[in-house]
Amino acid sequence: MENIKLLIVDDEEEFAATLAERLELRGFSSKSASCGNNALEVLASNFSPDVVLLDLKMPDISGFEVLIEIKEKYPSIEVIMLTGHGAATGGKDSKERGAFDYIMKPVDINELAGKIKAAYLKNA
Amino acid sequence: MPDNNNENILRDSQLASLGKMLAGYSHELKNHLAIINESAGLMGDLLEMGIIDDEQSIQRFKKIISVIEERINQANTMAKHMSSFAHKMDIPDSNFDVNELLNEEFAFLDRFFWIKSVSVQKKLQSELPAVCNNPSLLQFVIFTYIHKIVAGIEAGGEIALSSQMQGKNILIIIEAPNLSALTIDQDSCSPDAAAIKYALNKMGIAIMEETLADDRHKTTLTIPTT
Repeated sequence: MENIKLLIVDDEEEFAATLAERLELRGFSSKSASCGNNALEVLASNFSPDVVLLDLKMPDISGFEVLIEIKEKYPSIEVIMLTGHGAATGGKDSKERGAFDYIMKPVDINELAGKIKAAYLKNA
Repeated sequence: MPDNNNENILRDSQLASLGKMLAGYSHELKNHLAIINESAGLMGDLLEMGIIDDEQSIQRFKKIISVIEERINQANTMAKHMSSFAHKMDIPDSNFDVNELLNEEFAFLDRFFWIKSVSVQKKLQSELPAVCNNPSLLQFVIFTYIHKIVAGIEAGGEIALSSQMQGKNILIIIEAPNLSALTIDQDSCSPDAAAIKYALNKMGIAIMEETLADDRHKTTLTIPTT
């Protein structure tokens, strides 16, 4: 499988950085964005990820809003939602709005890696 | 004779407020746990992949450990606040420190401030005398009041909170941009507004609301110390 490019969007920068490092050790390449607006800026620049890992709750614009914009402007990019919510409702709602899948925090890295590969293969 | 109707309104509002508080707090705790989980996982990855054979890797390990320690400390502080909050309900009337209560309150509200990017200016007068009242009920009032303001405030707004001694009373002053939590629902008879007023009355705490020259809204709670 060729190198899969990720964009990790989470306002908890330590979480995003550590997750990025763990995914890079597994052969993925990644960039991080610290909020929804920053993620949209990164996407509008030259960086075109295969998969976006997107936090649901962020201070500027919500993960839902970012998801909707990504699916409108870049429909080929798959999105996996990261949610810290106790209930899985947010994740299920986001699937209805076009997300490929969702995963609850704290994440199981192998489960996440599996979902990323499955998302990538959807459009391969 | 107890006012059953108002007692029921108060109880409902207290339960709703407790739910909001726990939702925000548990989310914060989960964030700390997520970072601890990823950091511990990263150390496991580095060990498993044999990438710890030089000084740079050792320094990397030390940094990860300090992140874990810091997050454990923050989660521990949150647990302490929660424990202190729970124990306030043990005895309805007791002696307590108003500033301690306000600091605890802000820990509970922190996530709501963050979601709306609200900045908070806090100015608490030191060495205030202890107050004998119902700390749990006062905490409910302040949480509900500020939570409602935060819900109505524009993103990036500012709230100021201060405490000060005036005569034999302690004043808690909340200033926010043109907002009163008592009328924020466009209805001063909303269940939360009624519960706040009833709770304050029960505690013998006076509330005064005024609009300042710069259009900001100022709410003063006057708490007797004797």
